[in-house]
Amino acid sequence: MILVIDVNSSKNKFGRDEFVRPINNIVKGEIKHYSEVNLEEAKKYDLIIICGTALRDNVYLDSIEKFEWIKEYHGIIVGICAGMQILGMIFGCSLKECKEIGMTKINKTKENKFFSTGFEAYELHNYALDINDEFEIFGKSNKCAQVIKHKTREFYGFLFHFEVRNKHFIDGFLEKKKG
Amino acid sequence: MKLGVLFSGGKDSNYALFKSRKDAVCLISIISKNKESYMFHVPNIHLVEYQAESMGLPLIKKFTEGEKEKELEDLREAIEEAKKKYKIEGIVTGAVESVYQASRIQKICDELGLWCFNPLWLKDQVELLNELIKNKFEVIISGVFAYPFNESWLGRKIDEDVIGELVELKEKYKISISGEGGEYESSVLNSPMFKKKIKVVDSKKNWEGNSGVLEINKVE
Repeated sequence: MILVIDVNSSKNKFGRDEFVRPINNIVKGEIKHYSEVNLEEAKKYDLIIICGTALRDNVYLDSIEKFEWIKEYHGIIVGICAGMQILGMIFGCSLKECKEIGMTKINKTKENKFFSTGFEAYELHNYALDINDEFEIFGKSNKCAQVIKHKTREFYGFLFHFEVRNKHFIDGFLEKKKG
Repeated sequence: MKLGVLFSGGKDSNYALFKSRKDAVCLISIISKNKESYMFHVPNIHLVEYQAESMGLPLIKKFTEGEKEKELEDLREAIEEAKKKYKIEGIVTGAVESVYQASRIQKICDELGLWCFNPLWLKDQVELLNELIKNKFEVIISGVFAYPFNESWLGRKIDEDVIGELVELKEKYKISISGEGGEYESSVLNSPMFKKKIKVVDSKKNWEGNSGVLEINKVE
């Protein structure tokens, strides 16, 4: 089963329409708000996708403790934009200001299963992670880390919105889930 | 939250307005002289005045020559005016797939300290057209700009038959069903928000090569 987590605050009126529904249209999972998810709930799913938010919606940063269950979860997690930030922060990375809006070049920094060469991706964020030793970095823009993987767990972060122009990034996870 | 809606008079901005109707306090329209504009809808843009009047919403209208980066400056000025005049805290757009439009509007909103909402973003295109019909929007095709569209499409009302034909054209020619790639433009003559339907009393089809516009000269 696939869980798609909505990280938007109530002020972000169309957050679910804009950042969650497009992902769920691809993966056909269940949508829940992060406030409804704990370890017990998370364990019901083998793939969890944590979605992004609007540029001005940073309320999730005040509730990072709500995601502590991630440390005890043993399935696959894919964090997109805010989701990647949450994933990194749970494992001790810090946030830094880094604004990118629109199509941006991503360069490969390490061999990985997602891409073999540079590509263009859609960005919409004010912050990025300072990556620590818990993660390896597969791709970077000129400003910051864009694709990361936890070194020992199946936890992946994409700072860009792969649902826009790069939907194929989710295919590998869906195949893995099937297999 | 008070919101301003970027409004072209076409189906997407009208539907985005419908979705944000509880918070919408004004409409913002850019009238571009550039028929090739990637940013702004051009055919029958004058209908926005009748639509705004029918919905009882104030309209901020700004003209632009449609030069690539200058038109963004004009848009920014219009949004700034809405912010000052109507105290809006955010902008709503009808962007569905256009990264070009969406990222430019996101940047302007960011610079002005405004929220940017895109309630139709990446929405399934057939679902979008079906929702318009279900919600009793009356939408006509007012411009077509790509093969295999022909003159007969001008003025056609978007109904289930039209959606079926668009789906077939997508399979055969890879067009965007919602016209997001600029294949066609639409005009809304009635919606659940209109107090009075717009009736076209005089129009003319202008056709040249593979494209054409239904020029609406008089409405009531």
